[in-house]
Amino acid sequence: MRFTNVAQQAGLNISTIYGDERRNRYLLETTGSGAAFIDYDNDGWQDIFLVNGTRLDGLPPNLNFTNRLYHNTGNGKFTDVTEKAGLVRTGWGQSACSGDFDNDGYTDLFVSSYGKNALYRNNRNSTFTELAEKAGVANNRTRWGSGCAFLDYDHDGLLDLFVASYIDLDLKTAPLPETGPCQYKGIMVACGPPGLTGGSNTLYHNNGNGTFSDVSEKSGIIKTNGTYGLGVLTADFDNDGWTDIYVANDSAPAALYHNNKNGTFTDIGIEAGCALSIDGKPQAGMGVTAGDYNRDGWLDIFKTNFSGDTSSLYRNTGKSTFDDVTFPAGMGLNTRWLGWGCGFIDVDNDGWTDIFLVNGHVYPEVEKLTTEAGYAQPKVLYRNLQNGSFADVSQKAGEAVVSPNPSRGAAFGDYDNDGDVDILINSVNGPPELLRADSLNQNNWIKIKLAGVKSNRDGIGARIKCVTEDGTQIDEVRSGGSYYSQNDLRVHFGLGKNQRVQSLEISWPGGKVETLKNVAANQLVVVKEGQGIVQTTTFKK
Amino acid sequence: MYERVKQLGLASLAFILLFSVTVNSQQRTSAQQHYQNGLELLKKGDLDGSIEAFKKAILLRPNEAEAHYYLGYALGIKGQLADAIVELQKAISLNPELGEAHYYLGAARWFSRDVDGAIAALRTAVRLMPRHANAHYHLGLALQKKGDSQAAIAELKTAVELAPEMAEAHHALGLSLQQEGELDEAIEAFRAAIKLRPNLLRAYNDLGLALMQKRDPDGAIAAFSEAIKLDSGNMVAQLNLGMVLIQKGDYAAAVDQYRRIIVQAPDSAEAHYNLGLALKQKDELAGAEVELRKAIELQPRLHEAHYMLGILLTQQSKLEDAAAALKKAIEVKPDYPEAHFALGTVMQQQGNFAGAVAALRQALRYAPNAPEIHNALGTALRQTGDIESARVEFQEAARLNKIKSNQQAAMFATNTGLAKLKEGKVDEAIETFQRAVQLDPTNAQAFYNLARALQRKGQREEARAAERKARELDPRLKPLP
Repeated sequence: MRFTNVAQQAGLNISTIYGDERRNRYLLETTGSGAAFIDYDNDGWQDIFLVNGTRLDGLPPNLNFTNRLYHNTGNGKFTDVTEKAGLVRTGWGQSACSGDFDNDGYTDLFVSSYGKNALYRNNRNSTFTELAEKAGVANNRTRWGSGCAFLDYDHDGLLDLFVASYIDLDLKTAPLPETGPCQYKGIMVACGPPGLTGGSNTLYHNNGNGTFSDVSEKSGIIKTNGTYGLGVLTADFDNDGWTDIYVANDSAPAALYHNNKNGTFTDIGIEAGCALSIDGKPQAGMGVTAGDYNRDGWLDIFKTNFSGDTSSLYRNTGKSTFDDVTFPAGMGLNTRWLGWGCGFIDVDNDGWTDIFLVNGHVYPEVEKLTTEAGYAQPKVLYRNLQNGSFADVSQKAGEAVVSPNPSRGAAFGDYDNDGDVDILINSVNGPPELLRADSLNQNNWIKIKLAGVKSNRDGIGARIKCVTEDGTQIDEVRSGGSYYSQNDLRVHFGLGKNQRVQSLEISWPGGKVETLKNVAANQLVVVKEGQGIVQTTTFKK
Repeated sequence: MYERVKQLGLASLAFILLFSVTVNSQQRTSAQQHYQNGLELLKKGDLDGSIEAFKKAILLRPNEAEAHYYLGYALGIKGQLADAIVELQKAISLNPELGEAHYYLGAARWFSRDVDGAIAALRTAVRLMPRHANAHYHLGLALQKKGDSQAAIAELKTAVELAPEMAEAHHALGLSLQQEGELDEAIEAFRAAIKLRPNLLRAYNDLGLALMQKRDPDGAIAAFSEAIKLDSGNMVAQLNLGMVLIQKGDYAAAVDQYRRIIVQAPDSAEAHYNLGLALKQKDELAGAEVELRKAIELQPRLHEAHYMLGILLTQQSKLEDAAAALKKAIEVKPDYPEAHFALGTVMQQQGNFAGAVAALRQALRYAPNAPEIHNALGTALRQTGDIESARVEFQEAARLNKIKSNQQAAMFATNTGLAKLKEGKVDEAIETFQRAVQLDPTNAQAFYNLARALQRKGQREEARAAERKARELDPRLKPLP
């Protein structure tokens, strides 16, 4: 597999603005923003949404930066349709997550912010209407909304919304690098998060009438061991059919909110063994992803962390606990990179999910240091060796992988519908990257798009089990994830040499299970709840 | 008159400094002649002759304090410290007001490693001769050695006041200030010493170390580089330069520096060890392993090298070898919490949960307030199925982490308060300091600055209460005006 950065030629050539380029006064300027693959017009092609930030002292008058929506024209090109779609917005945009919260068949979009969040209802005509205030998810001005995800936590068929919060930051009282004083390796840098008041995560319940209710307290979401939430991941970690929530916290134990199946959650992260490093320390968690890398039928967790540390790989033991297998899995070798967006993706379609992560230092001031890592950093691709361990194969994955970039959000999806998973990366004060995957083998694959009927329309939270002669893989339809980003909602499985899938078992949120037998490889199948496959599309291979 | 004499060797160091010879020209008895002769010979540097002459004088007139004093002095110069002490004590018993005898007795005891005895004699010397810079200087050194930095600072400050040209006193003052955490003043003192004696190598090294502590790696690099310019073979400066490059995060330069050191000193275990560290930071694990193993080969009891090798092997998934290296580190240094801790986590990854629990409990014996060890132990206990004990450990870790994070928040609040005070926003400053003391009731600076702000606001009673609390927490704080 080789990756090529085709952003420029695809028309993604406008830089993302986020904080000062050289010196940051507050952490607000450092965290960057997310990226999303969404098919907002249901034309079968993944469009792109990139979240944008601003600057403390405002933007120069000649610049008009905004979040951007790019329409995929299907020929490898994208067209900026931000204005036409009604998505022009400036400010401290953070993450993007999608989900059809009104079950009208068109995915909607939520953008968290430092300040007021935005909820964009898809008008089904390639335009959106912002209604966060009306819907009750806007938040107050100083709350720092970070990672987000739609999920149906109570199985009522409506997508609820979880929004993490990083710091309860008030720029009037927050220390400056000099007043902290805050240093990193001898240079003054933005202060925190330790020492600053942590944010409080929010769970919004979908009332089914276009509004949401804040149920954070009632649901137990505010009772958590860690704070400083960034990346959000939703998945059913204990295979009980109910979606749990994992939050990567910065400089604090990660949270694993176990769904108690009664509208409440309990943070069991520490007890479950997926909140800390192997040596018991809170890490600077950024991005997070789930995948069954060892094909034992349980979703494992991968989390990116600060430099000087490793990323974390937590193997799900199947007993509601995790073992930190970072070192035994061969991931102790990279400590220089500071990781952000990440994904379990099967880059070579061999049926074993690999791991891709993007990096970049938090502080632009590190450029003053003659450290090797620098502000812009290369990405890392870990290949699954199919024995519980991984090998860093970044050097063989193409120039686009090893070339340094101050990366933050990363979304994974097949934008060119060719059967391999591409990568969209948002940067800090730089142009985005679109890493087109070009397969070097003849391995097969299958994609599944779900359409819920009783369940939420996007099938978010549904578990898919893909069985071939080689074994069983699992994954779920997921909103949010990675770092502040949204992946292609179509679930992708690599099939190796298998021409057919023996069975596809879909467990819809709510418990209904549908099994489809003997499905041909190398196609997208659309499965409607209760009706089986309702549409197939064969892509060029 | 005082004159500086040349260094004669370790045993006679006490008497290399200053000497006062007052020649009494009276010619009275033969005892007086011997005494006078002794002085003359001493002036010429004939120690044996002068000792002989003073002894003859004493034989004839045993109660002459001056004769005992000069005999003691000459014996001291000769390196016969025990005999010198006897004679100086005799001189003092005959004339307790003989300040110089007290001074040299103090010096003789200092170089005989009798620190308490030296302090006693030098205290009398400075009482009798309050303007004797050397006596203050040596008393400062002795107090420094005794660990009483505050008292040492007072004596050394007097010494430099009396003799501003005494580079050694400035240097010693810098060391005591550094020990007390007064880094800015220490740096100033080291710089003064260097200005007076641009070839005072030790001062460059100590200046560099103080700058490192001050987190000014560039300043430290400059200081160590100066020391190396003076003496390229100075291994202390060379190693310090490597260390500060690591602190700065400039691992490439650190690697180059240690490689240079190894060319000069291929058997320096420390250099190989630090090179291993720098390579590890660059994720060059194979090279790091080679260097750490070399360090161990050169110095098998270098416990840090065994420990670091264990960490490195863990990173490379070589868990069995890692456990062996960590066990070796513990064998060399049984009270090594980091090694017990790392061994515990390695055993955990090997699935040996009972072993992990034992190792982590051992780590907690030496570092009971480390939240991360409590967390790791909690996880290991959970893995053994002991959920209740696991919960207790997690709770303890959470408690300790909370304290830590509150301390950091209090520090931020204190500094933000200081900035507000500077801007003249007294009410906001008071509010911020109050938040700081609530977050960390052990933060003396927060109380002290709260007192300052309250004083400025005119709330004297409250200011006094806050000041009292501050000085209770840190008696070194000066009273508010």
